[in-house]
Amino acid sequence: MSTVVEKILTKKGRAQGRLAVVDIDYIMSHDTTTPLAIDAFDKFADHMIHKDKIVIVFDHMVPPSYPDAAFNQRYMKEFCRKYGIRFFEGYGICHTLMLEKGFVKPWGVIVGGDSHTPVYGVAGAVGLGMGSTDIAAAWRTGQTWLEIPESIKIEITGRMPKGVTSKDIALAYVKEITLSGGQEKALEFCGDALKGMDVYEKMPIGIMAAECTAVTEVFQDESNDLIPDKGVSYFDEVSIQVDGLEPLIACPHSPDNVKTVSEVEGRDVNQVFIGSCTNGTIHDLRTAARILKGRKTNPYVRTLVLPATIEIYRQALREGLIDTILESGAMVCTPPGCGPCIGRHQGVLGDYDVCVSTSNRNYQGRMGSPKGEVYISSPATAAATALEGKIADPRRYL
Amino acid sequence: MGHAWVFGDNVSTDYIIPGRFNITSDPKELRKYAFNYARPEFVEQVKPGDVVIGGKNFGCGSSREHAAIVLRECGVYLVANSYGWIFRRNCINLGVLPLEMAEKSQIRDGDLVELDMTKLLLKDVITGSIQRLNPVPQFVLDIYRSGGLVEYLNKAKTYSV
Repeated sequence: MSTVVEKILTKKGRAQGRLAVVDIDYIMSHDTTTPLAIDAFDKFADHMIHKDKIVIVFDHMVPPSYPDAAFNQRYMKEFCRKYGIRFFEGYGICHTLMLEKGFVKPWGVIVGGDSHTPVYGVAGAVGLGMGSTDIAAAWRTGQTWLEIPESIKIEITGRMPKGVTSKDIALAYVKEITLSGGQEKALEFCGDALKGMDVYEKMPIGIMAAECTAVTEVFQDESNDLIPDKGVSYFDEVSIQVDGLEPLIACPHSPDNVKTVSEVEGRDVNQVFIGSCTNGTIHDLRTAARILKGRKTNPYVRTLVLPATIEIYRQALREGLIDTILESGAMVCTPPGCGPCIGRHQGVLGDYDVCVSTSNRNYQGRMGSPKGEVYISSPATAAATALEGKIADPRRYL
Repeated sequence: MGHAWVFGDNVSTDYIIPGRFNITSDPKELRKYAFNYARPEFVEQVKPGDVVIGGKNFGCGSSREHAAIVLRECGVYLVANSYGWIFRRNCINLGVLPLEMAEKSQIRDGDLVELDMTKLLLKDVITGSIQRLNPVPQFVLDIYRSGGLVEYLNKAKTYSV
């Protein structure tokens, strides 16, 4: 009897006990992790390369803000040119782009040089986050090794109340499982609350699996036969009831330090960031625009909105969302990328800055100064906070 | 023998090297920022042979291999109750052995420690307390003994499972 993750990984590989070697469909990496992967690849005795499996995305610093980063990006492009590898520069954030461009398919296995690669489970694939040397080895062999993880089942049931989003569901389970609770394990999501959500709305739930240090995650899906065997045993089972859920917020300096927004309401804020792989989709821009429409953001708050991809940006332009957001006084930053989430450009925090961000992790120093503070919330809470200049409950604006 | 650098649970890779410094691949440049925010004295005082001791989930968070590189560059041994999945692989791949211990460490920060890799013991020379280390899985040992993943694959050509 197998879990969904066990089924996918055993179908794609050969296992000896729990130790398995699996075939990979796609190998994704970006401008932070690729340069070191090229260095490692150059050390292989021969340069056989699975070039058709490789996808390289420039998103962590586009365009580069420092000479070292610019040098690395040219180094990456020369590598892509040499081997005829596909790459995307300025098109958007790797994970959203991978879904948008159709690289992620049910029953697939994708490795990515980024810790949030497990998100591909929203479309029924096993995504494995890895470092640069593992990426280079995948380029070379088309395979990777791992110990097949046991799964934790997370059942999400009920109807979402007004002002509560899929990000609040994500924060609810991260609080429950904690930062280390997913170690060496996979998360499998199921339950009626997920019905009717498309892959983009599921993204915050999939992304935040990394914040429990899970190996991977997958959404169980009957339509693609991604269902566990009857009577399968899980490492653990967690149930999240969304009916009574309130807007939630992860407080400094840990993604599992989750409180209700009402507990921390009124805390002064000087930056709001709506975007990232976690909450930069068209759904998130619609949510933000709905709250910002006809209102003005607080002038003492730097409000930044980053669509996750160019396609999302264009769709938002067509729907008039960008106009609404700009009208409110917020800044829309392009090209799309990871920007403020990693504290490298497009809105880094200074000493004593307090930021409400729709990204995924808030470790000390994550977004800039170690004396800054980051709160992680939904785009609804972030937009309401931008209006008030203080952490605010979005429900009074909906 | 070396000195112990003791850290708590859930030390993230952002803590080992903050994201804004990962814009170069130069190991010597990266080394300057090890534990930059959390323990600024680390880079000045750490010596090869020192032991970094973590709690559970050491190296959680970002996949940045830079975190494993800076520890390799410092020449330290690594012992923790458990590791972030990606960080543990990164260490193995770079030829740094992520040693594990089941019990919570009794070793005091700054104490002189002795690591016995054959008996799998870590001893606090000052207090005399001894930590028992877990055996390292064979497959991990194979990669480590080759000198890292690239060297392993150069020799083995493919994964032998």
